[in-house]
Amino acid sequence: MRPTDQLQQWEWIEAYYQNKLSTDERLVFEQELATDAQFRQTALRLQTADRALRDLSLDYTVRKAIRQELAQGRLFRRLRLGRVVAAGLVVIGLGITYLTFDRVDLQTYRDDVMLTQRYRDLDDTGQETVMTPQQRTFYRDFFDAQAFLANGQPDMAITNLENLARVDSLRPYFRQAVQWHLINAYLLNNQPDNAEATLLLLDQAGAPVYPIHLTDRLKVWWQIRWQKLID
Amino acid sequence: MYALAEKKITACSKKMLLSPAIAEYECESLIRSCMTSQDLTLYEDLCSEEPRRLEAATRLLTRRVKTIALRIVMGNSGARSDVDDLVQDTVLAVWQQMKSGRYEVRHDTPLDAYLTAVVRNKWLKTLHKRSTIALTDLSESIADEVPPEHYRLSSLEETFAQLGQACQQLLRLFYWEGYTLDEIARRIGISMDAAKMRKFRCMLRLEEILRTKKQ
Repeated sequence: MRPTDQLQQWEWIEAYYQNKLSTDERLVFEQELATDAQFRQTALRLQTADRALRDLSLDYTVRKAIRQELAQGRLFRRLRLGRVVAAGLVVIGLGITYLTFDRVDLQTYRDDVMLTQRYRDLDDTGQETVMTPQQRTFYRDFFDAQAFLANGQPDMAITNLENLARVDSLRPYFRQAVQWHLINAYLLNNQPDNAEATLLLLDQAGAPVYPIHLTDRLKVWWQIRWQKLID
Repeated sequence: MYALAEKKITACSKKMLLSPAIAEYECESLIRSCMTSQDLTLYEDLCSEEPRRLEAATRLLTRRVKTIALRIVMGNSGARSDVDDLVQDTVLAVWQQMKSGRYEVRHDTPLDAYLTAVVRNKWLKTLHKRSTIALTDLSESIADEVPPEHYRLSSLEETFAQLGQACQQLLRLFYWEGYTLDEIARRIGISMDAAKMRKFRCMLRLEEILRTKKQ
């Protein structure tokens, strides 16, 4: 039965184009469509508007989904790039931390200590050696300087090493050994300018004969700059 | 676009009003007779009026188009920043083609080939506008298969914008956001019957503007 109330009539029309009417109701509705031109026009108008609105809403859904999908892609790209950048920063940070705070480990330091200690022990026991008095003095002072460095007394090590560095007759190997130990002592004593000047002397001395690992060279270079920067 | 959409709506409405079940069956049969590929599901989902299904299908289509667009754009004088606009245009055009029934799947042409053609055609147009390269390299026969693009709903949007704010709000909540009339009534502080009445009046007003515009 066709509703008489306007709102109910509109709802009836809506139920029809949404396929919500039973077969019997549908027959009644279609009879009304066939007989009442005004009713038919209203039904068409509502259906046209409903179709247009559904089209607009679908368009909205599609545009939104595209935007979200593309934004998600951009986010993933950014996250991926972000991860790479973050990893790079961490690596750089770790590298700088290592170069800044790790002590310069002179590669032959331990060999030097053993050697100089042996010579010094020989000297102390009064055993006869082939060493000249100059050599004995060198080994004694050099061993003491190493001991001072190991005991965290760089200022005392510096005194010994500066004296040794002034000796003219040192062979290149020993001169460079003294200079590297001196640089190390300067850095431990927060004297970057002196360390830099000694490094310059080393560079000007010619071919390096005292073996220093590349990372230790880098550490010296960086720590001089770091100490100058924070002073 | 408006004229075409209006024509289809009217024609379809008349047909559906007379015999909706038969019209629906005829349309389905017509589409299925052309569809043989595994893209049928995607096609059906894109033609669906169920928002969740349509959204999922659109996302899938966007991903597929993006893969194609990246290849075409990056290989032809483009940058990554060009891809998003191209993808959006292509997905919208393809969806509108499918929805309007203009898209025809051929037995020997997979969906990706069609998508590639649309992307390529749109990219060519972009390049042509920029006049950066000669078009001869990319103009291939497949470009002929690309249908014209004029299926935007901008005209319908303009019509909708002519409605009053109250109508726009109610219809948006009902059609766009999926609220029930009961929820809408509570939200805007009117009775359920008043909400229903307003909705139908707004719909009739919209149809009136559409009809006036057509004339």
